[in-house]
Amino acid sequence: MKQYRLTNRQQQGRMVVLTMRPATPRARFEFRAGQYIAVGFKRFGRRSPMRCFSLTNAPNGEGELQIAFRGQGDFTRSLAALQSGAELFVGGPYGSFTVPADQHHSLVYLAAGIGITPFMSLLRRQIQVGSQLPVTLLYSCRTLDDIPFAPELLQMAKDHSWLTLRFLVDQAPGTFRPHPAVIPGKLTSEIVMEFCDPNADYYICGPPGYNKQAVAMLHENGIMSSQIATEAFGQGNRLQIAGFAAQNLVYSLTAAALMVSVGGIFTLSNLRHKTSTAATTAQSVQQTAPATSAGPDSTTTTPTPAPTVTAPSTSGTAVTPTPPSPSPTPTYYQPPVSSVS
Amino acid sequence: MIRQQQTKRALGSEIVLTLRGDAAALPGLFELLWREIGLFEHTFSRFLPDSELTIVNQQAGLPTSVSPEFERLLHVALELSQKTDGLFNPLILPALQQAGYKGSWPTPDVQGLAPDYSGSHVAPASEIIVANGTVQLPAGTALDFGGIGKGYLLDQLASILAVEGCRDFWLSLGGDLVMDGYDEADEAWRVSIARADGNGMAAQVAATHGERLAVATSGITKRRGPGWHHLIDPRTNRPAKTDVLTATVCDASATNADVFAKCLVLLGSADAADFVKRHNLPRTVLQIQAKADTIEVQTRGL
Repeated sequence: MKQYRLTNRQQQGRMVVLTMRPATPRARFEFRAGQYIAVGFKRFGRRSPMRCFSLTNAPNGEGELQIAFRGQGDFTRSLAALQSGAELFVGGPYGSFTVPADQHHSLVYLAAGIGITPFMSLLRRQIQVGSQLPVTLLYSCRTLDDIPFAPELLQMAKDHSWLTLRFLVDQAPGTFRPHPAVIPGKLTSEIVMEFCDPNADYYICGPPGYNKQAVAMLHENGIMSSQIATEAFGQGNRLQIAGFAAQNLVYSLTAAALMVSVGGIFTLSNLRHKTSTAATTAQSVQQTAPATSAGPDSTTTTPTPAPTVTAPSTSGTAVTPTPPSPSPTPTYYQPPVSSVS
Repeated sequence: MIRQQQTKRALGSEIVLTLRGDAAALPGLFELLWREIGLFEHTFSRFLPDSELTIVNQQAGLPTSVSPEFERLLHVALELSQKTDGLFNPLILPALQQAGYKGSWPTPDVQGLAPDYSGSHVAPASEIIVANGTVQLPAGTALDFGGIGKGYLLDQLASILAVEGCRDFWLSLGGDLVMDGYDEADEAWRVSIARADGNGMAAQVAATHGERLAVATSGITKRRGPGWHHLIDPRTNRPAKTDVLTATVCDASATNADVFAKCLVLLGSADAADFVKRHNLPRTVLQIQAKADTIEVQTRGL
């Protein structure tokens, strides 16, 4: 683990963006756009578990790292509450959700919700190096309200003609389109057909259910598995599915180290998927985010009289996924605060 | 007895529900509350094309049948409009959109999402006709419950919990709260009031004997653009020019607290004291822009 310091914290709607810098020159490391890191911090004087986040910035040679997330669980809420100067522990970089430097096919990015994060790094990197490679980004969101990075993406599309941007908004009211880039509704086979290039390479990032359906739609449209890379986001542990849908790689330091060491063979040009049977009927992608009327985003339970705080992991180097508790363990309680609504 | 808390985003805000009670009963209570919130949103959201509110607005100028719930809230809104001499006006929506249309989507406030009434005009609330299940808005106007909805819904949710026998809870809709009873230490819930500049807390308030208490904070600190915020002064139909950054009102009724907090911001510190006295508001906190970068906190009754 390398020591980093939090240098900037930004709130963008519900999304929190944290920027960190190495605490010492030796802690600095390079990464490739599209990769992710593991992050931990100190709480009550002890080290927290580690969680994975995609990097959202482009490498700038100074070792600066940036992540973005929504504070919906205990860990992310605590992370969001850290102040500038806070000590962070960083592992990585990990992952092979990257674009080769010699990429010459056009690119299609399919993102859902907070799965936009690795694409921010990829797009920022492309701008940084001045590449004109055509990119289409189809970004699926539940509502128009508070889409991560929407203003920046729109500006990118305005400034760079190589970027085609569409927001696919599931709960946009009727046919109301507040912006030409907005398409009400979910990702469908027809939309894939309209926007996608049969010779392009495809990157998909979102919840596992979204990824599965997006891959199915691409297959329906004749896109080969060798053209597709996926990265799945899940609650809690991150599932790195480097193109092999049958394997779920639950994050642990050991597994991540293994992925890093063999990551070289997982670049897009070397992927060898099993060709799955394409569905014969069109289907729309099901957003796995809950609808307004469904269950809560988070639940914490506290027994009376005093809440119990789960002690974070104290292991120095070994990082393991937090096992599920047999019963609700209260670790975070939001006290009542009145503020401008 | 356990304390359980659930959070979710709805009504354009973060909602936090905290209940204390029997472990077996709490899931059912939460479900009841979320369902009520969903129903409220479906009825009164101006962002939904098929909400009852949108339908009423589309028929402005014509009598429209409405549900008992809609009529009830509208009556409450009209009463408060009269009580505040029009400082609270549920027909302010066109002015809100006219002032804020420049900040259209995709800013986080999603101004561009709602149907566009910026071509409509603002009329006094007294011109609304409501009786026997029918509402008629003045032609060319548009109704919105943004200034009262959260408080009203909080009161409804608190009533549901009372009927269900849940005595200890606090509920927050985007920073407006209602609380009742005691926490797990057998002390009345204590609510912190956020500083207007976001740096910590300005004050704390608690119900003296665990009685029901609502705390609502309104202000101009959430801006959608330079020199623009979302509190429209019905006297000018423009964003309020005021030295009050935030106003917090504590009252037994969340509906009243919600509306009165906004009124105090609109009035400014000079006229706020008179309003507080006239409406007998027992506890208030005003955060006022004093000299450059200084916030003066005035508390009353805390």
